[in-house]
Amino acid sequence: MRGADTLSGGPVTIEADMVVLAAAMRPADGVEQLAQKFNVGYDEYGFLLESHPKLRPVETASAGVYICGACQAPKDIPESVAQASAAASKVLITFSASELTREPEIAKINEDTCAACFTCLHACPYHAIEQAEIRTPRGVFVKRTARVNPGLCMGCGTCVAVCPSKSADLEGFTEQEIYSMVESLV
Amino acid sequence: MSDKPTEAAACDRPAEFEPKIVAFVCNWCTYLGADLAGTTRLEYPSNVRIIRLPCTGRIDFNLIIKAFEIGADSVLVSGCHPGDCHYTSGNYHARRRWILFRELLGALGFDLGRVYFTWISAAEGHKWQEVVKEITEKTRQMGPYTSLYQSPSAGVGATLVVAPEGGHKGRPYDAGVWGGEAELREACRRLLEEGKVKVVIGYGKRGPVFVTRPEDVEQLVWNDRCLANLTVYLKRKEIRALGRPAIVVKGCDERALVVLEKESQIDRKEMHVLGMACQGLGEAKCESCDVHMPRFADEVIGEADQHPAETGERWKSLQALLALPDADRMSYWATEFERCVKCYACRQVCPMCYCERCLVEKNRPTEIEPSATAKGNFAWHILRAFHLAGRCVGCDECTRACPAGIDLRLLNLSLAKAAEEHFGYRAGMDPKAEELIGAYSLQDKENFIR
Repeated sequence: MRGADTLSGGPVTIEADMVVLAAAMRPADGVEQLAQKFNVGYDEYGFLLESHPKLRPVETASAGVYICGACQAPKDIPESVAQASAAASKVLITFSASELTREPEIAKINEDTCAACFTCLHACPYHAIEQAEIRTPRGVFVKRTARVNPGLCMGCGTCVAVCPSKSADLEGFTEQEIYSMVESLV
Repeated sequence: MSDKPTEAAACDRPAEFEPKIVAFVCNWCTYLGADLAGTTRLEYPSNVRIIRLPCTGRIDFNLIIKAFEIGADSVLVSGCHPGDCHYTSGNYHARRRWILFRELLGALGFDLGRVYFTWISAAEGHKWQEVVKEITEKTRQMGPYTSLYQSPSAGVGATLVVAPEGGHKGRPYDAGVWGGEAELREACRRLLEEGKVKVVIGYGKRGPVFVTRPEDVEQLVWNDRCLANLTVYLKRKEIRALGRPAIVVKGCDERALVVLEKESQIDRKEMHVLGMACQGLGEAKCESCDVHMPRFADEVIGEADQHPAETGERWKSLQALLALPDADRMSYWATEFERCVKCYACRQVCPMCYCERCLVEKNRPTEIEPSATAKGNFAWHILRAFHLAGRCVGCDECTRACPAGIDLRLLNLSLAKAAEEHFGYRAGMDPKAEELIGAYSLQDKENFIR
């Protein structure tokens, strides 16, 4: 049998008694919609992407969403099972701790000045912003506001840029810090 | 910084112009690309000052204006290639805003050769080098940037004729010439008597009236002077305190209701909308109006004459402005904005400006210059216009309210035109459409992004 060795770039010839052709694999139909729903990245073929193959395996760009099996790349059953165990362990890690540890750079919303237009809610790639109500201790309705779920926020700052009153701000990249930077640079 | 000439050199010849370029880059692609350029020992000019942000989605147009305001000669904005965003869609959101922002800058006559947008990935150190070299060279040739705070060259502003000759076709005032006034009063009396609403926000002889008793409905009028967009009163606390309102709207005002509902500012079920069929009030906006009949009102009163405008006509008022060369356009606006006293009447009458604290009042940090200087005025009008991108319903209240007579609607119109041309979007036309800002499409054009 003759073929090409893609690593060395040369032709190869193998003498064999039996040749088994592996059928090509492609992702399931509708995987794009699924990935968009969960905010998980995918490659040009439609296979889902891990955050980092070495440093953060089975994790995705969305916190709390893990992937395993042939949705990530063509693989066989033992590999899928191994990856599934890895994903299950990651989930267990989340549940075993009493508190969730997250990156400190997350958005916060100044609820005093929030006009409750919820543009940020539509723009947030992680659905980390929710509608909330401010009430007095006696339960009297004061106003509505947007509120960040710190467990879901990944700190991209899209909400800050779309917020018309700049009630949203991003810890670590606050307006104050960036404006100071701009002013001192020029 | 190394771009300052040494003292010895400065003595011999006039200091050579060294451009200052501010680059806003995303943390995950372009910043790493610039880093790679450094670690692979690629040389590029030191004129570029990098500001690292988490994502292009975080890059706000105010930052670009601020950079120019304090003396940048060019601005570069760069992030991950489409599809590569670390946050999956930040660059798509950014791209849509840039498209609109560039259109606004164009309408202001801003030199677009000074604002660059690129996608540079973490592996493209060479591209970073090329881009920075190219921008520095181009900026060096263009010279220092002064337009935002130059004094306007006299005369140019006066040559721009925006209104058609002979004024807009107005009708002589004749109260009651339009049908529907009696029906309107009757409908309001009924609503108030039955207790369905507590207050009717309508037109009176000398301005808006807020009728709370059935016997006062005679104060309401409906004629060709009913120009104001009354939806602006819905946001007022003192009006809200009166209770469930009924509001009189024309077809064009109703678009504001659609936008406000989309932005969760009003609850359509908590009000009664009295739609008035309109025959055009002779204003500039009426000439190209195609919503004479209210479409979503609870009840429609009167009969409109049907003359839907051709699409092209909507941008007629922009022709004179867009025909000017860039420099003259900038000069025109500089002349106009010189009269601006920052009274914020344009903001107060705008039904879409409802923030409890306007950005211009934010002082930690001061996002835009609050004084009525050339810089501050440009920043304010850019801010106001851009916040209305995809939201302005073209009621022209800002222009009518402006005591300095600045034709603010031209800025709103240019953005409305951009929204329609690029995204097929018209504010307040379709209650089901996604918001323009805050949504994105993979098909958004990016021919201006390198």
